[in-house]
Amino acid sequence: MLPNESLVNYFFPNEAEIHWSLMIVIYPYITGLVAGAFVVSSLYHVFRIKAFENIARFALVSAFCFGLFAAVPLLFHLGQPLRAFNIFFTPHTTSAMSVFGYVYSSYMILLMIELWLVYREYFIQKARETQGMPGMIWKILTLGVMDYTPEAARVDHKVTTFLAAIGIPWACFLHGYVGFIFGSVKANAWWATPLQPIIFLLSAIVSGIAMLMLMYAFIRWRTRQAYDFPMIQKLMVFLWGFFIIDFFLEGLEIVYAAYEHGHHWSVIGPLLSGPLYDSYVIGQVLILSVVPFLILGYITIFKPWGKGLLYLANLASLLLVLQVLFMRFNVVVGGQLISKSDRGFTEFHWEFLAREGVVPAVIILSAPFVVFYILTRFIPILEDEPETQQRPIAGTDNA
Amino acid sequence: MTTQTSNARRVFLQKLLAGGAAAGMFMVYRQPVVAALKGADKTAQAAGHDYAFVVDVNRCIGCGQCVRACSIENDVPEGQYRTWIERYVVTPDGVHVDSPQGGMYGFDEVDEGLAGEAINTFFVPKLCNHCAEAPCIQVCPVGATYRSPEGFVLVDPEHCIGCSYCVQACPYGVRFINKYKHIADKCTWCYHRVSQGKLPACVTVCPTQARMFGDLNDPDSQVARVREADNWDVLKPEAHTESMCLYLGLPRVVV
Amino acid sequence: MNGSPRSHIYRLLVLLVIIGAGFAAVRSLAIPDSWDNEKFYRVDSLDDLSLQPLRIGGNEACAGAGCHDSQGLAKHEERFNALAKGSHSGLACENCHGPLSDHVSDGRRVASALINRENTLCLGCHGPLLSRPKDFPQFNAENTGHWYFDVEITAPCRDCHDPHEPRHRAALRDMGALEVESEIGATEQPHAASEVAQ
Repeated sequence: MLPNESLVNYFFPNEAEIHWSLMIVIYPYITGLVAGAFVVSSLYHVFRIKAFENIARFALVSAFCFGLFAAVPLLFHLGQPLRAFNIFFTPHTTSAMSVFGYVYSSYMILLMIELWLVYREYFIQKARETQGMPGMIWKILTLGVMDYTPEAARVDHKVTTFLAAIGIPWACFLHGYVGFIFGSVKANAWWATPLQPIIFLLSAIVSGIAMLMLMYAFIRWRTRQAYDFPMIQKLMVFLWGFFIIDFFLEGLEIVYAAYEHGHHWSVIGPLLSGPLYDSYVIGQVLILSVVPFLILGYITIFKPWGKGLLYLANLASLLLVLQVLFMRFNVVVGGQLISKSDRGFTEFHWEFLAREGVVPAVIILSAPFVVFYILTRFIPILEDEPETQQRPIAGTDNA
Repeated sequence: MTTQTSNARRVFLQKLLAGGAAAGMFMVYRQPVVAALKGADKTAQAAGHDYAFVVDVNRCIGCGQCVRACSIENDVPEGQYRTWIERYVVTPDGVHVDSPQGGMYGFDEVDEGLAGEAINTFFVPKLCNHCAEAPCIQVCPVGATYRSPEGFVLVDPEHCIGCSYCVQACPYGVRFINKYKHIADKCTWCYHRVSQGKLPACVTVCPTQARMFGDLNDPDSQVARVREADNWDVLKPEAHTESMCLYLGLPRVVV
Repeated sequence: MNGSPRSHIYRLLVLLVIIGAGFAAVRSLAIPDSWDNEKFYRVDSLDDLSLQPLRIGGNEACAGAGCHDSQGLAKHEERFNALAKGSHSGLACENCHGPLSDHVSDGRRVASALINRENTLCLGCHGPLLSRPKDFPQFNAENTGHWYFDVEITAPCRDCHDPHEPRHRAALRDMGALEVESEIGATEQPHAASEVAQ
């Protein structure tokens, strides 16, 4: 069905090509993972939820690994990537996009400082133990301060809590502004809604929690360690809660548009029953939302344990990790399918090896996991691994 | 550590911070001071003109000369359009809109069935509206697109990073990313011609004077008289873009 | 060495200040000199844009002074004047003869101006299309001169019409078309050719 009584599918001549493609789909996906993982870490550091104590550090490292690659899809997308730094030199503050440079870099600095404080004790220990070039690197990481006194530990704890606290609104800003980028475009009926920043943020948290669950299960399986079932149970409850709100808001937006039956619905209705039917109605909603909703509800209410909990949690998390990816695709690409002539839809063409193709997208999405793996060779991440020291190192040195 | 060295260290750090702050202030304010000292304010020189464009739908014959002329004048890449012509055929069952290659080579006659149903049919030229409240300018993250003092909405070809946000934000679909230059591109009202006292290329070649361009501040110009007569429309008035492209005889079905 | 328990924080802060100062220095050097912070754009870009070369000259460029007079191509001036005064006065020379830049560069002739005698050129504007304004002259095999001379749309327009003045009375009179017109009158319905011939 074509919108607005159109007899043929018409789009403006310049709309033959979609400009925001897979790179702009994965960019909010990656920053969403950053924000989501950080929120999990803060659930322990700020809200003191004991169940997540053992994964707080792991969540922080994951956030960092995802964060390292957040800007990469943007550099692939820009027509003039060598001018990317213009966003630092002349940020046009009427544009939501202009804040990217400073918000992203300041957030990464905040994250790195928090990680540094968390790992400082370990860096000091390694700097004392190792010689030569590796020893030098560990020494640099300590910034030359070689003792770890209980007072210093208390200072670290206070600063960490403070950073985790301001990190929450900062992470929300880092991802929420992306929602605003879309939500404020009046020219695009599918994008324009004030709910967009909240929807993006909530789905980001959902993706972060779900991704951490999958990573945790994989790591514990590969390292043949025990699973922390109470933590998994609680994590899935939080996942369900955040997902309910997220799903509700996504649905609310459509309900409003359909009810008002105004200009927005005149193009959104045909969009959802037409070009976006498979990826949105069947994919995102039926398979990837309703099913995990039921699974997580079951986990929360009936509290399965052991292997049952593990499989259900993994299944729900996998579906939700995909749901959020589908959501990003349906929003970014779906919105651009609508012609601004109000009289038709344009087409999205999948590319594989091109700049915004599937292959580069898969590589960029895989990169954080590769970095995470490399980091595990150097630092302890999940709490009860053998290298972790539980006690602080004595204050005086050998002099 | 003795108290002497710790004091010395503290003093050193304080000086470092103070010096750094002073240098930072200098760095932040260097450029605006330099710009102010340079004097020659282009904005003052250009003051006085307020350009606008008029399209008379009743006169357009869909010949496509304007699209060809624009393409030649501005090296517009094939398949991309700084201006184009749409044909509307209104029937009781709906609207048929088409724009084969932007209308560059004219149009073939509509097929008989459609012609039989037609209640109204006409051509509509489209181009950048050079809006006074342009959403494209609002969303540009680096200030590469702007509105000149005389009303031209332009793209700085040296500064644009090609992010395409402006393309998304334009309600009229007039912007695109130039496939060879990889920066945002669109109709410039032939700024390079107007600044030499000529008319935009499309206005120059239109055989029926369906396109008009002029200075609203010149009471004798066609555009000023059209605006005064208050019988014009703009595209998508609900978007409140303060479009400076005034349409005469614009039928309701046109979006 | 007994450092303050906050000494590592101080070192971190110093590091951050150094990075921040370095960044501020780079930024201040990178902002273009002509940048207008209020209107938020690089003012020099206006100059850059005005340097774009012109391709289309407009009729004023074809007016002839200094170009065709010295070569004695008086016919060019005759056509230019006919165009300016006649029914095709809204046309640009370049509509049919191509852009000026293909013909002239740096004040010198680089190629002949395009001359196209095909009727596709005329029909580009005058071909009958439903969407064209009703008051715009479109080729019609039933109108006065065309039905009398059995002119079809495929016939060469140039045989009867001079594009510089397509209603040039002398040319049409030569062909007898004007007499026919005065007999029948402009407002009457055209008859079949066979009826008139009797």
